[in-house]
Amino acid sequence: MAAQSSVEQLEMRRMNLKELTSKPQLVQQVLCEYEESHSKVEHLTLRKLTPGLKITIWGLRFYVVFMIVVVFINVFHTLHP
Amino acid sequence: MNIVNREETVRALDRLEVIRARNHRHRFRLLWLLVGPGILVMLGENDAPSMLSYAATGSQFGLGFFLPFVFLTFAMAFLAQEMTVRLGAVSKTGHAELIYRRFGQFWGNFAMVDLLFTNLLTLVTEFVGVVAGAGYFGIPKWASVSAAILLIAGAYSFRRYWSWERTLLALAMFNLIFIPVALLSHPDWGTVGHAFMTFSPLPGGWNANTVVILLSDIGATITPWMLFFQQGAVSDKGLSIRDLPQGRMDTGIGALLAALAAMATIIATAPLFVHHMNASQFGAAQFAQALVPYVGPVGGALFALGILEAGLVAATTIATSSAYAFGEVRKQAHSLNHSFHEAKSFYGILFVTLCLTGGIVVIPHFPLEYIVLVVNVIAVLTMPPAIGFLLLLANDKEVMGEHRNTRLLNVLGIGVGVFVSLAGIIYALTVIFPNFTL
Repeated sequence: MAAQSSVEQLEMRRMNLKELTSKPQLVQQVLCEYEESHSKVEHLTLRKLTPGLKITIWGLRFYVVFMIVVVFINVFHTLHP
Repeated sequence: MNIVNREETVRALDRLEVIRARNHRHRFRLLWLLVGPGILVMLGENDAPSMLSYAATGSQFGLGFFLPFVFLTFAMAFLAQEMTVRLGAVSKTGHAELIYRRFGQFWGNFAMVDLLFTNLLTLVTEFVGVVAGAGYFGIPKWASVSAAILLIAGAYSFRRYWSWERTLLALAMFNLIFIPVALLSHPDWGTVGHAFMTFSPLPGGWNANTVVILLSDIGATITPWMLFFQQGAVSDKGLSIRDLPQGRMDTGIGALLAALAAMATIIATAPLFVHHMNASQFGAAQFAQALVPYVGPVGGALFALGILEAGLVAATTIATSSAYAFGEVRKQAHSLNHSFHEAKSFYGILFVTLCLTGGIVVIPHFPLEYIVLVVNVIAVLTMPPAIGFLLLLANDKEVMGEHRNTRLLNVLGIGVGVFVSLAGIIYALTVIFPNFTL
């Protein structure tokens, strides 16, 4: 984060893509926060699901399956009254 | 020697512009640079089936309960989408990748099946909208579908997220074309004001048809692809945590513009209700033709153009949401800053889904009415698990740190989930027990 704030302090003139390509260090400095967040996500592991959470997620899954069946019944009735 | 690729350099170039605007305290330029994903997701959700759903609402219920109700659904959409802005800006990662990382492949696959299934169905209806809108002007099906795919491909050819986003933003603004159509219908503003103050009248009361329209209007505003698209776009655009206020404004502006276009469509088609025209089975072109006596030939043509544009913009955003999710899950390049050679599978998924769904629409006698009938309803019925994962991620301390949901946001978010689930349950009751009334 410190590198990112130092970038925000810089007074930079406008550059084009070709010019910036020749300044890889500046690119890395500008994308510092991006890279930090990415590496944090890379190290994430599976979240522990409590029994209550598991029941909720399964319940929502059954809800979707049930509703899809209901939709097909509705379409059938609508098109074959 | 540090090695950076083209995607990183392009993103850094965009970020440098943001830093310059911030350093110079150019607030409007800063906002201009950072808006995009929110406006695109909201105007993209005002897609062909959504606009047809609003048109059906206006023609069957006139100016009453549904006008403020639609505004309310966009407020709920804002709540959900604001969480994706935070998730994207904090994690710099797409929605699908976070679900897989935190909940594993089993639950991730379910989320992906929901997303890809609803996206494919919705894409077909976007091309139905394109064909119907172009058909009003006598353009044949094959020509409108081919032109739409070529136009969308043109928008992707920039190899830059920024250029793609600006092109699509310009196109998305045509969604507001429904506002002049509404004005041409010379609405009674007193009735409009009364509807907003009282949430009434609701002609016919609460019956099965009202519930279907209600569900369809919710599905026209809140759908799973929006979560995947906006988080992916926020991450691809490179929004940082400091950009969160502008990200929220972007989403708010998008919600407001989309709500205006949606309410304008209801107002524009209300004369069909007043003149007792049965529009329950109308398609886009029929709506445009039926409106001509009330809004004139210009109004009818604008309506048809609006449906065409709605289908075109949504086809692009929905196909992009599928490609983002697919790339994230397969851990392959998935940025619009990549060239075709660098991200073959990303662009491949985009064009395969576009060609497949566009191709279905031109098949003679294909029962498109089945898909059009159910698409919004299915979208809203698959929403509760999507909201569930969204809330869990937005409260995940390891992902969000200090930016996780506040208690108020959780109460509101759970409220949206419960509301959407209850609407689905009422719909199921009206299907299983046809005599059921509220």
